[in-house]
Amino acid sequence: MNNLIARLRRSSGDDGSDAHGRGHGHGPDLAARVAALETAVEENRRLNQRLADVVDVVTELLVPALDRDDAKVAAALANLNKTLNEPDTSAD
Amino acid sequence: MAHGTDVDIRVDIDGIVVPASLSGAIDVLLDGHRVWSFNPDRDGTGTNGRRTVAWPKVLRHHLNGVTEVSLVDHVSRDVLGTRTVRFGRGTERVLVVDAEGHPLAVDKGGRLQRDFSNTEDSARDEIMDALERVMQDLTEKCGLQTYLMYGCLLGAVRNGHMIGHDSDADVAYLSAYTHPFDIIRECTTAIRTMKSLGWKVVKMSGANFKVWVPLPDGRRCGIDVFGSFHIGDSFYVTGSLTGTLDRSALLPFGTVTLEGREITAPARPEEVLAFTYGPQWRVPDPAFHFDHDPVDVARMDAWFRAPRRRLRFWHDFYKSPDAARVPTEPSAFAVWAHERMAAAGEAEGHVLDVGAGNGRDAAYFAGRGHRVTALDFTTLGLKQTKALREKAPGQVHVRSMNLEDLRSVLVTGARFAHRAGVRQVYARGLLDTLGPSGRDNLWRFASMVQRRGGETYLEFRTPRSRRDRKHFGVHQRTYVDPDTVAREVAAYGGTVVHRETGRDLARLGSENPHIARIVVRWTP
Repeated sequence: MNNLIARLRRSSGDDGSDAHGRGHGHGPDLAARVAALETAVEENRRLNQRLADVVDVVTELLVPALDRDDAKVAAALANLNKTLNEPDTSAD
Repeated sequence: MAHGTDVDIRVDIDGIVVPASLSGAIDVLLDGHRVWSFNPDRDGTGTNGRRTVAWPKVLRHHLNGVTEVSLVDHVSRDVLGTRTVRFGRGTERVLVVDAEGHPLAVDKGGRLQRDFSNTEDSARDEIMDALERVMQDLTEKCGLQTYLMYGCLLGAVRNGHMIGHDSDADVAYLSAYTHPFDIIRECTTAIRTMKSLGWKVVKMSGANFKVWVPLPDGRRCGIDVFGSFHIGDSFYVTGSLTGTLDRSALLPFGTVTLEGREITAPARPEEVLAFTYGPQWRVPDPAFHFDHDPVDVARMDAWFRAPRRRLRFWHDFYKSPDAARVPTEPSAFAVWAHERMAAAGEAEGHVLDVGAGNGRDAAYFAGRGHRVTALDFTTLGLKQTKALREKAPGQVHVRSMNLEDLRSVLVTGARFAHRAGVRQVYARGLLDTLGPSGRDNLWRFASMVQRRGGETYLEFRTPRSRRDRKHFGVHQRTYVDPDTVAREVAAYGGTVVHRETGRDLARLGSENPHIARIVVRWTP
């Protein structure tokens, strides 16, 4: 992400390259800037699923974990796995 | 090559050649059974008054033997031509059937499926019963505003019946939310509720799932449940349908008649069908497939489908004839890794074979007495070595884990990490198939399960293999620089304890890739 921000800054002139009016919204600079933005947007979109996964895992585990209820923790883990990781086929 | 008497049609193993004057949807029948439909204008190539349409890849695998190929105009039912053709060297009739002998046809997603045209009336009733019960549970138990969508809505509005060439029943729900994060959470809850009600549910993405319903004839029918939602000014339906549709076209719901039953439907179904299929939606077209803007597909991929990245590729690979070309004897790397494990006193320790593929190395480790867990996101390939594994003295457990799915990694990782003892992580050829996010999850997984010790064994093609001729031809591959791996591992707190690169270490048929072998420890 840091690389991405650096690329965006470079192409938007934050590093000083725009001091003479170049590099802002023209030619290859614009193309590079759009490409970097597209990558950043995709990365952000993917965060929805990742955050939802983390929230789901934490939500299911937090209460039994605080209760020190090992059996319920194990059951919650098994349930999390079963709910959303169903393979199309099984070799077993 | 066969020639006809009426329309000039040629048929061979490469495809079907028809006059460019032919248009509209054309059904392809083999010995009287529809196996596929195409539209020459859309699916064909070529000029000079002729269009060549290639056989779909899934169908081509079946084309060996003799058959009578008929082309039939889908709308008028006129037979345009019939040819008796011999494909390959086979002398038997060509059969496009499933394991139970039921006829199959290529669906709009390019897969071989049974379709409703071969469904008996009693089964149709069963499908309708299931559809109604699923819709009722989605509405009442999951609290989702559920309506008929896609092919089922189309069939209902056109003539009140399911469409013969469809293979799934389709419903959608209108999400209460307008942000992808909330939409994913809503879908997760619905899947959990449906499972708790006893339905067999498979998650297809963060915002749609499939309910499998067994039918009396031994088959099963899939009821696809698609999330739909407004975000900003746009309306979206999973798969990748994107555009402008006012909420008033959907709500308040009305009904349509399907197979004689009143089913909940959008307020203005014609408007929804035009939004879905375009202005020509009234003209039947079994060759129809969506031509979504790649930008729309990419958006939906990033929101909801990132964990299924490459899943279909590997699923199809292990169903294709190529699967038989994967060796079943152990790789040189497995032998090397076992020797290193043995030297460290772990000759019979627990090995997690991550991305186990067809299980050739899992079977080898078990043969040397290791306890093995074979992990992969599609366990289809592991069928190939089931007999080998069963004969081995060590046990092999097969588990599904998807490295592109953070939840899967966290849950599976936590379960292993919790267990006492040390385990080895073995991943041959895995980095070749993962993207950066999958690699990130692999480091997370390995560092979790090896917090009490053990080593992570990696073998992968380096960028120097990029231009090499490959055993499997065109494949989805990633060529990771070993320095990148070392950097990423270090960022996760790991240490590279062995590193070598070169050729002659991992020959595969005529392929001799430049590979890296890296061993990582996550403990001091």
